[in-house]
Amino acid sequence: MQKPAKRIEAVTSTRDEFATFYAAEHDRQVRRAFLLTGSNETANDIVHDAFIAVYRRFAQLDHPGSYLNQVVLNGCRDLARRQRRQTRLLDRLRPGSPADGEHDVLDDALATLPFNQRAAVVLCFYAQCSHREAADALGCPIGSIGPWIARALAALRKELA
Amino acid sequence: MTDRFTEQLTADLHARARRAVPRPDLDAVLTATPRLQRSSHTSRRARRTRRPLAIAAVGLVLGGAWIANHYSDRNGPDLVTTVAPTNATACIVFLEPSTTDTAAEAIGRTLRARPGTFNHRYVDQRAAYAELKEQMADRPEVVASITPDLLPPSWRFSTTIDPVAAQAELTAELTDDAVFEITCAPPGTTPASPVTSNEPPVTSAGPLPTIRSTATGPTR
Repeated sequence: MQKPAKRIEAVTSTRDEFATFYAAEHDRQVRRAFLLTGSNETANDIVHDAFIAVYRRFAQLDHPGSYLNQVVLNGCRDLARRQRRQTRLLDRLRPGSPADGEHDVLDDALATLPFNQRAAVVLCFYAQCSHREAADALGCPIGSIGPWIARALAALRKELA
Repeated sequence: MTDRFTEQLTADLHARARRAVPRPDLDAVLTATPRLQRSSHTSRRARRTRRPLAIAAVGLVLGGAWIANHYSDRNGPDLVTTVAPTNATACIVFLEPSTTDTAAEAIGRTLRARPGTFNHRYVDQRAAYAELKEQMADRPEVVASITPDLLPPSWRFSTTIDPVAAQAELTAELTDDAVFEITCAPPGTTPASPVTSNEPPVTSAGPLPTIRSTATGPTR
């Protein structure tokens, strides 16, 4: 068992390492989540909670960056699911009700894509991830990424034409 | 696979991402304060979602029940209230739950000033809740999930104009943000609206007047 002084040292060291990791990753993750959710507030909240999850097991993680990617993507995916369900219910009750918030053309076009396609586009074209990295982050086979991107690009070409 | 479109898309994604405003808060992470689990955040989101659902659902239940009751008197008119012509149309103007007394009163004045309208009455949120409890007596779980502050207050009245024209005129006239929904039902046989108060809400007198439920209706 570690002596108290050594434990404090280890904890302090972990906090310092985490602070460095946080500074390096935070803004990048928020921008990525922003592209996936379309909302600045939500992106910040999702990334914040993801960092808490990472911090809790920071000492045990070999690749905290990959784990953070996954947690953020899962947060965005959960949100997309909830929004889809809510939109469907609201549309059924009040057809033609305008959507809330400000959107631009790209955001609207991205919003029409299923979450996996949207995430694949953001990871590969914005975050410059390889197909392997995108597949790891999305927790899917590498072979799924290519078709998702192809379908997403076809839909975006149509939407943005 | 890089072509002009994907190059443009990449540039657009970067431009869009630059519009994000990161709000780093390392201390909150280190002290583990989740944002998405904060009660205020959750309840605000839940309210945003639940509110239109509750308004629409309750509006349908109460509006339908009132209109059905309005036309259901087959045994003669209610002796207590105004006797309406047989070709009367029943109209309901639902207001947003957040509508102030002053705004509700102003809308009531507008409705009263319309020619050919009668039996105006205001149903506040408490009265709407009482109606809901009565109409949904066999669905206590629905009643338990709704609080009076979610329900839309409404103005109810009859008019001699046909429902389509009445709805179009009202929609054009009532452009106030406080108006949530306007419903007019086709003419029935003997409309009898058991009015207990024809007075609009009084701003200075605190809560809006509570109206007895229409379900107590005419004597058979």
